[in-house]
Amino acid sequence: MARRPIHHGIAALVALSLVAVSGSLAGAARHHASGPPIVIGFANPLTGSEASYGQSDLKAVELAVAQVNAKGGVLGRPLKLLPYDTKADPATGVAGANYFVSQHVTAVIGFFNSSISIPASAILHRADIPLVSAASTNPKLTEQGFANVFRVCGTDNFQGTAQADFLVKELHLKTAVALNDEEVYGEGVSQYFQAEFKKDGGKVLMSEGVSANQTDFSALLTQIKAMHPQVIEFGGFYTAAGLMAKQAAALGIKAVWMQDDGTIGPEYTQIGGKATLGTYLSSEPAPQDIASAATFIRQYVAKYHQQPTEFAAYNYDALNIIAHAIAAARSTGAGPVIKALARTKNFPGATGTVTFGPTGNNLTAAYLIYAVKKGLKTVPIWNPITGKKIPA
Amino acid sequence: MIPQEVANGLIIGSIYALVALGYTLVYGILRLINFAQGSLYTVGAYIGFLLVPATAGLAHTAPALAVVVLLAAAMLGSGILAVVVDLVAYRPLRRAPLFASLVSSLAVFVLLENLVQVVVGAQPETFPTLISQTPWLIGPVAVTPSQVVLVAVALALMAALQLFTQRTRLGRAMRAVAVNHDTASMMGIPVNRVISLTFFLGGALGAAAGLLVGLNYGTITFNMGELAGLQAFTAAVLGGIGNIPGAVVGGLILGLLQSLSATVIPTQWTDAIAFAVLILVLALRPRGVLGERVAERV
Repeated sequence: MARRPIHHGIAALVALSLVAVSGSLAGAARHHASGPPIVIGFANPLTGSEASYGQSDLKAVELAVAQVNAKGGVLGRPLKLLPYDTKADPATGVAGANYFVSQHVTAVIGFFNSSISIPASAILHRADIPLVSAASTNPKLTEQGFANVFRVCGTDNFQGTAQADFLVKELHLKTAVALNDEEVYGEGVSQYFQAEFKKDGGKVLMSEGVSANQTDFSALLTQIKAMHPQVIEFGGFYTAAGLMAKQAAALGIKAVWMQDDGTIGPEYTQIGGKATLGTYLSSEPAPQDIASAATFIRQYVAKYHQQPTEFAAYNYDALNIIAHAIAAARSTGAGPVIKALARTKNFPGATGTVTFGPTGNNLTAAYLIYAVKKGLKTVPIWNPITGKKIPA
Repeated sequence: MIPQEVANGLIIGSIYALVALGYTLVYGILRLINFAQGSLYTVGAYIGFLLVPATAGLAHTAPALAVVVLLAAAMLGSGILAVVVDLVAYRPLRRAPLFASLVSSLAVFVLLENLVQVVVGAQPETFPTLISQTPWLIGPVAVTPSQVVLVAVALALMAALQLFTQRTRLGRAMRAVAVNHDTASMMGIPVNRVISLTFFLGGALGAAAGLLVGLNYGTITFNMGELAGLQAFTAAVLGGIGNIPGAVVGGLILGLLQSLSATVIPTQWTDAIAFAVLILVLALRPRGVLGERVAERV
């Protein structure tokens, strides 16, 4: 007899949970999310020299959240975004990871800069919070053995390799100076470029870091001019890249510039002006160059009256993949969500189909080589996978 | 290579010198290191940037005149701001220990920098090309007309300041106040007005540097005053703070040191060189190159 209340209790719990499940199903059917929101952390440089990416990424994620919530949310609960401004500063950015832990977020999208994502991923790993990166391309991020870390965008070893292959195999250039902005991301791209460039039979005349806060790079460029390289490769972001291209032209340097995906977007050509004409850059395809992103771009432009920047579609996909994983896991618990994320396969995203491999990398991410053409338009010209030119 | 690096050094050095003059003028009069000088430089650049659309027509027909208009507006705007900063942040502390004004100047710097960020945003802004950036080749040296204008305007402003302080009644009044406020006051010099004038000149010179940087490099950011302010401060100390020719010499030496060092040291150390110089000067020759005696009061 003493046991009966317990049985009653279990029965009551089962009944309650049935009610809860049917409640959530009914919620979904009504297309109206209720209940406590599921909080997703979002960390990006919202101010500072890389803010143009961060602001567009935020808009893309907000668009995805609005769309998910309009369809009834996830598990009958609305999604709520918790934005955090990293200012592209490692100290500020990593503090964001601790902030997300204290706020008990369900998952995090971020942290844009590899130099922030890598240390932040360790904090989120200890707290068992899933991290989906949409823009951090340094390979190390997913090489730490952290089950909670995923990445929608590509990795810099592919990027650096694509740069070198294009320069050597397509343009037949043999000597290069490799520069980087001494950040994890820029240095990574440049190192992978150098390794492949040497493997392809090219010669690296100099490899040096620059202080990206400078506005005047003439002293270094004067040294480079005396080496007569055919190529100057720079791993870094648009402000330094544009200033250097401009100052190199002013010094009469004729070398071909190869920039990375930190320079795709209008800022690089605005800052560098006509000196960027004929320069090259490697990048994952911009939304405008991905067929599957057409709907996303249309919705984005309709809502914000401006074009999305480079990583916006990847961030949009990151949010949708997280929402999908929570729904598939039928839980906001870290364990089930991480497991569901790891099972992401052929997810139809704006950037293409996303499949996470064993380390959390997106197996379908690709890079293209772009050139700055007349009217300072950046257009894709070469596909490293096929090794062929892309017709205009 | 060396001649080109000398040219590079003179270009950045003349910017340092202009900003350094602002530090030195205020220090000479008040013994105050006005860290707000870095943000006056930024504000000058942004005043010019915001007026670019208004002068677009002029820039099309007479670009040189447009440059003069932008320069005058930037100098006037930052000059007035510097006077207001003094009235609000330093004058109430005039009788307090100097340390209070120093902290106040740091606060003004942070406040102004953040204000610029709030008003115009954090993204870098780009200037149109008003002066040609196509290089001239003079022997082994490549310089652009834009760089020549930068150095010429900077040198002209420095010469004008020197003439002003040495040859005019107001300049003489400034020098008198620098020696002793009370005595100058007893001689009938309106000390507070002379101090305002000094702040105006310092702010105007900083603004000129900011605008020239915007015109030549084409890109400005809200936090451009941080590094430039610290490097110019180094230049002022190097030359002998409080000493007008010293600021010019210090700026040019620092610019040349940074660019010539590129021939032997990787350039990622460029910023570090400036601060190593600052430490060495403070340790070995606190009076600076031109040995102004006031440095003892630091």
